[in-house]
Amino acid sequence: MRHLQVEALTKTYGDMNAVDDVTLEIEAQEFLVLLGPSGCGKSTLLRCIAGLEEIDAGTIRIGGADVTDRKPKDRNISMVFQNYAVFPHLTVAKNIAFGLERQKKGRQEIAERVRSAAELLHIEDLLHRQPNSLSGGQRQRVAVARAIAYDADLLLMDEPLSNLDALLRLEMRAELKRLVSEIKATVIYVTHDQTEALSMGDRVAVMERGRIVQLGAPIEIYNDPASTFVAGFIGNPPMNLLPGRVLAEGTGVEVAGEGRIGAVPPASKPGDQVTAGIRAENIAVADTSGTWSIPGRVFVVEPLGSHNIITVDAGGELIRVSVGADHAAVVGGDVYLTVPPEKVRWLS
Amino acid sequence: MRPRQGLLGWLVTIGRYLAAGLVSAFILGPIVVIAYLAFAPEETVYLFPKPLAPADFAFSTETMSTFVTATGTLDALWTSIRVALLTLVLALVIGAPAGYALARHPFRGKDVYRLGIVATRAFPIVILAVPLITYYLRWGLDDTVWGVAFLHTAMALPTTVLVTSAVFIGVSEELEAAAMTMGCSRFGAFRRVALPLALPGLAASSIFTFVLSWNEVFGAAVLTLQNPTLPALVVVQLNQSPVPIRFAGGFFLLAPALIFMLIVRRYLFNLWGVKLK
Repeated sequence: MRHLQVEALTKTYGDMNAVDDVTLEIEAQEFLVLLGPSGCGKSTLLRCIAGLEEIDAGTIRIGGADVTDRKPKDRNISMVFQNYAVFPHLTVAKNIAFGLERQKKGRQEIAERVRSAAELLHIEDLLHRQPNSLSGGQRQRVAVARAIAYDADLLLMDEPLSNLDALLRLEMRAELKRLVSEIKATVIYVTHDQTEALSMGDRVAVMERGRIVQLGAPIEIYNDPASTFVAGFIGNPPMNLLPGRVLAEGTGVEVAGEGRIGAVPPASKPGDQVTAGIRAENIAVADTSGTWSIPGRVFVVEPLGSHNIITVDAGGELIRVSVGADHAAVVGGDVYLTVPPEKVRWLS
Repeated sequence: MRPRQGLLGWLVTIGRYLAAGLVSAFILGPIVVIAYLAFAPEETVYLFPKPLAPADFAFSTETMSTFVTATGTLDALWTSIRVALLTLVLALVIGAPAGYALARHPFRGKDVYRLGIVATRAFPIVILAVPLITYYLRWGLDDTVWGVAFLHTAMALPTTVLVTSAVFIGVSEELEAAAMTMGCSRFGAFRRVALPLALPGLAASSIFTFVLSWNEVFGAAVLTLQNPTLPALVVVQLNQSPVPIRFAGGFFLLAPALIFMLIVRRYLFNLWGVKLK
């Protein structure tokens, strides 16, 4: 499998840019996730790459060849759809063989590819069933088996797990990730679920209003969000965003009423308005005040088994803090939050 | 209060069934009488009161066979079949692509277009008849199978377009997209995926067209002279026929429509979102 280059791709509906000047490169065998809220253009971008949507500007190259003006069937891609798109009038085996027959593969090869794809997805027993007798999870497996059986350079997945129930989704997530690395496929995977994106992708492209606002390894995106949008979208809970002002001494920032954190953005002057982004797990809770602490009152405690999330009301700002499961926080109790300076991110 | 409410409820229920029964009887009554007298011996038709008990019923195909073997009946039957089949094919070939386009492509004024399609049916054929026959005479289409089929196609198209568009809406676009990502062209995807899945619905639409053409009287009577369709023949000739033959003719026309209703009932209800078990 070879790589994909998308250059300055724009797709408009009426006067709205569904995909706005997107440039993107993917290495062979890479797993790239397009992540964003609904309506951000991620599915449209995927459909443009597949050739299912005509684009208004830009070029698309797959494996070095310019496929911009090619029909989907001539792009050497395969795709998994949100609603599975398993053909109801064909058996499971015929579904998986569908594309291979169009590719004019020999009988022997088709049988071999169908069998191995079915084995990888553990659906050997379903091969002669009709799709309407299958469960949603089984149909999903058929759809994935069909896509990987097809001889393609690029595997596109459009929210393939979003119609499964939570438990099944978790199971399929791990299985898909393993499967894709096993068959060494190059994948573009669209999702609105940030957990899915972080857990599966080699790289994640976060999209907002038709543009890629950040592209990087999951851990980079998690630790260093490029904007308040990314910070607020990624992570569970999302990053705390605290607007503040650089102190007169220039040694720290005043946030959340009387709170002070001992870090300043590079190249800032006293009095500058800034926004500090702090992850819930990077905040410590203390009972006594210090020079660099944020006083507040416990607003709500949410025990999650493995850890607790406590929400602290600090001068009107709600700050979420992740603490151990044994942490005894009392609703209404006074607390002081401290943040290691190196864990503070500055956002604009 | 409670017992009165119960009583009221009962009355409403009884009234509802009574109304439904009356409507059914109103429609079924003539059908039953026609069927009954079409297969009764000639004497029974003139008998009054008629022997309604099944035990007294003497089954006879005499009037039926007289009607069928009468001059022109079989020719008219053959003409009707040809006209209906031709109409079916024409309506499907012209109407189904339009229905597909309506189902798949959003365009400005789509709803107006839909309404316009239905509105064409509001135009009375009576007004059309004279200019139509004038042009048919000029083009040599009068008194031909093609001529009647063209008129019937025009009459059937609105329904064909709307019904087939409903059928294609029922076939997910994602399925065609999936086929296109697996080696199919736009048309290939339609042929291999959308068409097989739409086939039952298209069949229902075709039968509807067939029966519409089969039952159409006015246009066929105006446009034909020597080669009438069956309804045209029946309308023109039965007025001069003895009463038993009229019943036979009536039943002959009625039967295909009834059979059609039984077959497509389910599909038609499906289109309107009602599921019959």
